[in-house]
Amino acid sequence: MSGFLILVIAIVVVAFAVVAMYNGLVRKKNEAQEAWSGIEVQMKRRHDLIPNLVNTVKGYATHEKELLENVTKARSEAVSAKGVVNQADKENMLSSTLRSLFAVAENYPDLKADANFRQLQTELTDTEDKLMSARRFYNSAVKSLNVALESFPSNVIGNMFGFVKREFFELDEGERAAAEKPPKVEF
Amino acid sequence: MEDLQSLPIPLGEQMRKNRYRTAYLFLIFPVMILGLTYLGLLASVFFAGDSSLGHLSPIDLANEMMSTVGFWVIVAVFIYSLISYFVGSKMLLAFAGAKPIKKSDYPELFRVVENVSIAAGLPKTPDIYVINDPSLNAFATGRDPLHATVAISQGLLDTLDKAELEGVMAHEIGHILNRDIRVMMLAVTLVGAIEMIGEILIRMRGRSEKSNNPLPLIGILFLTVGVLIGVLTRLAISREREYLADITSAHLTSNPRALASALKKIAGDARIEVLDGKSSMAGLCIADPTASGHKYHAVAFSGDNKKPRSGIVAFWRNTWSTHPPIEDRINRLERY
Repeated sequence: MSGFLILVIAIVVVAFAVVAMYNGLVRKKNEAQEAWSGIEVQMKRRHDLIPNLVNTVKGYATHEKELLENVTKARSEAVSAKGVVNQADKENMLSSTLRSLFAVAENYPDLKADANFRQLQTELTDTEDKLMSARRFYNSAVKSLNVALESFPSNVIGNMFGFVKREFFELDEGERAAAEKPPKVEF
Repeated sequence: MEDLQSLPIPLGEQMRKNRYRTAYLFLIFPVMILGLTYLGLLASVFFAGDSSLGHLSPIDLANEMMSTVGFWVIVAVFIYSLISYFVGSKMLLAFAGAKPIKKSDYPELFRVVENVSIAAGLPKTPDIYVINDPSLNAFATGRDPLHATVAISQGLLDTLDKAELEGVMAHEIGHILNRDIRVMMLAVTLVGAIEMIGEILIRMRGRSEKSNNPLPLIGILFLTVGVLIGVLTRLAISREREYLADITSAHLTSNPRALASALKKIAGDARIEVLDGKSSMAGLCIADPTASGHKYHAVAFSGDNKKPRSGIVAFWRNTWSTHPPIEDRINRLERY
C-alpha cells in the first residue's frame, strides 16, 4: 500500500515538473518571438526611410549615382531577406552602404545644409541605435531559450513537444569591434 | 553574451520579494490606521474629561465610538489605497515638481530612454518627466512596466554626456524591470499619509482654543508612528535595490564606467530643495536628495580625501541611510 502511495506521489511530482518546464519553455519561446518583432519594427522603419533619403541626396549629389544604386539595391535585398542569419547579413550590408553614403555626403555642403537631409540622417542613426538595442534584447531572449533547450532535463521536454532553437541576430565584424571598444571615460 | 538570466542578477528573486512587499504594505496600512484611530479615540476620551463620559467607562466609550468610526476608516483606507496604487506615481511626480516633456523639446533624452527601454524589453517606453531644478538627481515610479515614469532633474540632464545619461536612465529602468517602483511608490504614499494626518492634527491646535484639545497629541502619535514605520519600511526595502539597479544598468548598456562617472557627478550635488525634509521620498531617487543625506555623500568627494570613513558616525549613517554609500556603488561598477 505504502509503495503504491509513493508511486502516486512520484508521478504527481514528475507531472508537475513537466508542466512547469513546458510552461517555462513556452514563455521563453514567446519572449524570443516578441523580441523578434521588436527587431522587425526597427528594420521596417529603416526600410521606409531610405527611399526618402535617396531622393533627397539625388537632388544634390548628382555624381554619386552608383552609390545611390548600391543603397537602393541593399535596401531591396534587406526587404526581401528571409531567415534570421540572412536578414542580419543584409541589414549589416545596408548599414555599411548607408555609412559610405553619409561619408560621401560630407563632400556636399549644400546637401549637409538641407534640413530634410539632416532630419533623415538623425532618424536613420536613431533607427540603427534602436536596431542595436532590439538586437541585444532578442539575443538575450534567444540565449535563454537555447540554454533551456540544451540543458537536461528541459531538453527532453523540448524535444518531446517539438521546441526549436532560434538563431542569434549577429553583428558584422566592424560593428562588433566598435561595440566592444572600451568607452572613453573622463574623471 | 547579454543574458539577464545568466548574470549574477537575482532579478527574478527581487521581483518575487517585491510582490510580497507590496502585499505586506497593503495589509499593514489598514492595520496601522485602525490601531492609531483607536489609540486616538482612547486619548481623546481621556482628555475630554468626565463631562461627556456618562455612565460608560473610557474604554467602553472608545470601543463604542470605534464601532461606528471604524467602518468609515476602513472605507477611507480602502479608497486611499486604490488611489495610491493607480495615481500614486502622479502624486509623487507632483510632489517633486516634475513636469511631463515633449519629444521635440528633449529629443536626445527621448531617444536615450527609448533605446534603453528597447534593450530592456519593456513593453512600452516609460513616460518622461523633467524636474526643473539645477541639482542632480533622477527617479523612477509607477505601478508596472506599462504604467511607469522616469524623472530627471534639469541639472542632471545638462551635466551628463550621452553615455552617462544612458547609464542613469538604464539604472532607473532597472528599478522598473524588477518592480521596485511599485513598492517604493506605495511605501511613500501610504506611509506619507500617516505622517500627513499627524501633521494636520498637530496644526489643528490653532483653531480650537480649548486647553484640553487632544488633537495635537493624537497628531504627535500619528507622526511618531508614521516616521517609525517609514524608517522600518525603508530599511526593509533593502538598499541592495540600488546595487541591483546599477548592475542592471551596466548590463543593459555594457558600459558600467559611464554610470560610475555619472554617479561621481551626482555625488557632488544630489540635493533637491523641494525634497528637503521629505525623507520618505528619498528612497526613490538615484542618490539621497535630502540635505543631510547629501552632505553625508558629498563629504566623501570633497577633495582627494577618499579614505573610507570609519567609526561610530559612519556606522550610524550606514544603518539609517536610504542609499548605500555612493563610493561603494562606484567601486562596484568599476570592478564590474
